Amino acid sequence: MGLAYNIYLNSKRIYGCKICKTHLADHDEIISRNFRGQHGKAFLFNSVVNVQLGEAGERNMITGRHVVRDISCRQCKEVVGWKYDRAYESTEKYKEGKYILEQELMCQVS
Amino acid sequence: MSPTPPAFELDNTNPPPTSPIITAGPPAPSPPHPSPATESTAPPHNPRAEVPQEAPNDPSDPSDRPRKRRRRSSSLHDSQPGYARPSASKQQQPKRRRAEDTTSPDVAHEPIMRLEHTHEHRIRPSTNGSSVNGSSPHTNGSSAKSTETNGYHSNGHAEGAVRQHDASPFYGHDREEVTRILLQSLSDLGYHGAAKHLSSESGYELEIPSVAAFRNAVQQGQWEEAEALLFGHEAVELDGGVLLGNGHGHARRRKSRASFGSQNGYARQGLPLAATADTTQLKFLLRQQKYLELLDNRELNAALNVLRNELTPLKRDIGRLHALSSLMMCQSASDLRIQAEWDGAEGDSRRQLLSEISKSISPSVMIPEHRMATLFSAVQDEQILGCRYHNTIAQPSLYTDHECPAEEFPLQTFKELRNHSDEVWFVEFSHDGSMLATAGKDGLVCLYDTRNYSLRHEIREHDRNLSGDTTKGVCYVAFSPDDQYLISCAQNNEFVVINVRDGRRVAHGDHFDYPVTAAAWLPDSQTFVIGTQGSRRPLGLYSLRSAAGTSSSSSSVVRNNEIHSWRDPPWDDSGPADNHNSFRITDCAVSPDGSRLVATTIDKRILMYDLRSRAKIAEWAMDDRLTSICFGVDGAQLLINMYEGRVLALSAATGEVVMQYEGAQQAEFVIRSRFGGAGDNFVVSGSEDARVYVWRRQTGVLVAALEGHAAGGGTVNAVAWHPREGVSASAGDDRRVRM
Repeated sequence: MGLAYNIYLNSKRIYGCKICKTHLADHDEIISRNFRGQHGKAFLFNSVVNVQLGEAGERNMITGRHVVRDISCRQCKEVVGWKYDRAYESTEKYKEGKYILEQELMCQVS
Repeated sequence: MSPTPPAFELDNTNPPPTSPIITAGPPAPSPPHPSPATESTAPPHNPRAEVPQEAPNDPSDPSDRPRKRRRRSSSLHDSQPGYARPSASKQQQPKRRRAEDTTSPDVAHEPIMRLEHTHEHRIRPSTNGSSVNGSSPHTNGSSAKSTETNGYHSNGHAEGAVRQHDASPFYGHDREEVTRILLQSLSDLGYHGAAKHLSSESGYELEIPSVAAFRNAVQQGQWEEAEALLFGHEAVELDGGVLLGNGHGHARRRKSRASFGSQNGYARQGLPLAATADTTQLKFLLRQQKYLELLDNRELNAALNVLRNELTPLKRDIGRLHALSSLMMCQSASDLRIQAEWDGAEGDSRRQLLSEISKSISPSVMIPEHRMATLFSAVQDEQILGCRYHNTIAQPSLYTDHECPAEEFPLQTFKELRNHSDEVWFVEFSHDGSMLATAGKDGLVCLYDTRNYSLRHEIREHDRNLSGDTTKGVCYVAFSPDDQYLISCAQNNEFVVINVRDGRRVAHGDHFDYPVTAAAWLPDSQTFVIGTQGSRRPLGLYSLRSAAGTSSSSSSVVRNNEIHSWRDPPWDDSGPADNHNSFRITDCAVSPDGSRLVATTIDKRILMYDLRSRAKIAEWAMDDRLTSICFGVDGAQLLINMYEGRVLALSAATGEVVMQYEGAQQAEFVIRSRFGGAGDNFVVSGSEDARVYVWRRQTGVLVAALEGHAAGGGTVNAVAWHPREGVSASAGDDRRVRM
């Protein structure tokens, strides 16, 4: 759909898509590193850029039931993590609206 | 009414007119009376029967006291009726005396003279508060004074008939105004005979004598009189400064008044100035001109006198005073002219001074120059602005109201080009209109001939270096000003310059880490600017000539020939790969004269550079992200596209928003807009709702929202307007280019 330029971040440490190096998130936006995804370690970020959101689905995770949607790199269309839409348990509410990016699928861009 | 006291001393100190213009005085049979008013009744006794209406000699007398009017022409008089004059009697007397004195022979002459003068006029409603018809003179302090300035004494104009000032309005406009404007236009056109005839026929004069006298005085350089005329004698005495003559003493001022007769004498009150006139400023201007002229003549002493005694007491604009005093140091006249930027006494400066001052004189006394032309232009401009489809630069005729028909405007799609297999991202016409280039997501650049829209070249230069099929995509193409070369900028971090005739590449640059987003040529068709999204080399100036100077049409391909690169902060290449403080370019444009470069960055700023010195001129921060920028054809306006659907026109000098064009939608993607149409009258832009929007540039009115691209489909990414014909092209996500 149309031409769209990528958003570039300004920071010391930026994580980007492993394949196309598109900037995804800033290191300072990490909320927690204590997550695990399908491929291993993952981080919880406050905000990410250059991603496209997928369909929402309910999933059962270690922490409980959540409504999540996958996020993929805008350019190469590869899935890089997911976003929490809703958390059913009250202790998990803090994750709502935040993003998980898997470390395996990312690389450090500078 | 016996003629009494020597007319000359009489009445309110009016300077006795030296040679009464033969005011057609009521001939001996004594002027009817000092009766106030009742003028309109033609004095039956007036031998000159022709002048029935005007005749009321007496009443008119006072007002006109025979004045020596040098200037025959002008004076507008107020229409007689109602000219009540309390002091009539006194004033009449001299007149009367004169009249009586003049025996028949004179009387006989009068008519003749009158004829010569021809201008009888009613006392013109002078604008200093004098109301029309007569009562004015009285309202002015020295009663008749002001009226004096207004011209002749309308008595007994032999002309007769002339005076009829028909009071009927001319299709809703004041007859007097219309006639005077006509008089001015006739004179401007050079038809002086016709002008005279018109003024005699209508009885209106273009200018009252004192205005004409003033004009003359300025043009001849008689500053003393000019000032006296402008401000009136009292004013001159009261305000600061002693008015020095050009080397003459002051002493004969009074006398000169008398001697110059109508010139000075009547200007007791001076010319009526406009409400906003600043008398000190006007004096300053007059005296400054005098000073400069004296310096020009090398009469340094006189100039010094002027400076000390006339300019300084005005206590105005001290800086300018200092500048003027420093001019005294100039060695020669030509030096003076250069320093003061003044073109000498013989040049235009007097005329300019006159124009300047005339702006401050009340407009009904001295009609602003070229009034009719101004009025015409204003009406035409308004019509042009209101015309929706105005697509020509030809001046519309004055005969009819102007309205462009909609047929000549490109509203219909007449052709669709479907060469691309994926979204079309950019479209542009060549500068001469003979070619059209389109670029798309499929990495393809297509060149069409605009005569029949046949495909000329298909350029797939970007097929190398593919790292994935998502990095294909040409997002920008630019024709060189001579239409020989085409730059295409691609997402795979490189750009290519292609020779348009044969489709071969002549240069390329691939030392970027990030997609190349925009390119702009300089007018010499040899150098161009490239903008990328990388922070290392965001904006670079490149040349087609290789370092060795060999021509680029040879088989060697020039590579990475960067002349200059702008970075912020400037640094060398040894730093870290990404400098996050630098800027990334989303679009750039070069002004048509090649002097300025403007670029938009990812972080919502607009930067402007001077291309010759390569220094940054200006930087403006905008509210939201910008996706496109381009210059207007005159280099004075910039058109930008911002997120949230705003298309703005900015002034290129100050960066302020001149006009905003509503209607287009833009939320995610890059949309481009352009100026178009004859004289850049229109702004055309793409939008995310699959429509092409066209607005009138000057007024912001939406002219058309053209459908055509698949509605559900996608955005219209870019539009272009043919430089000559009324054809526009739009590139859309439905893979089509519509004409």
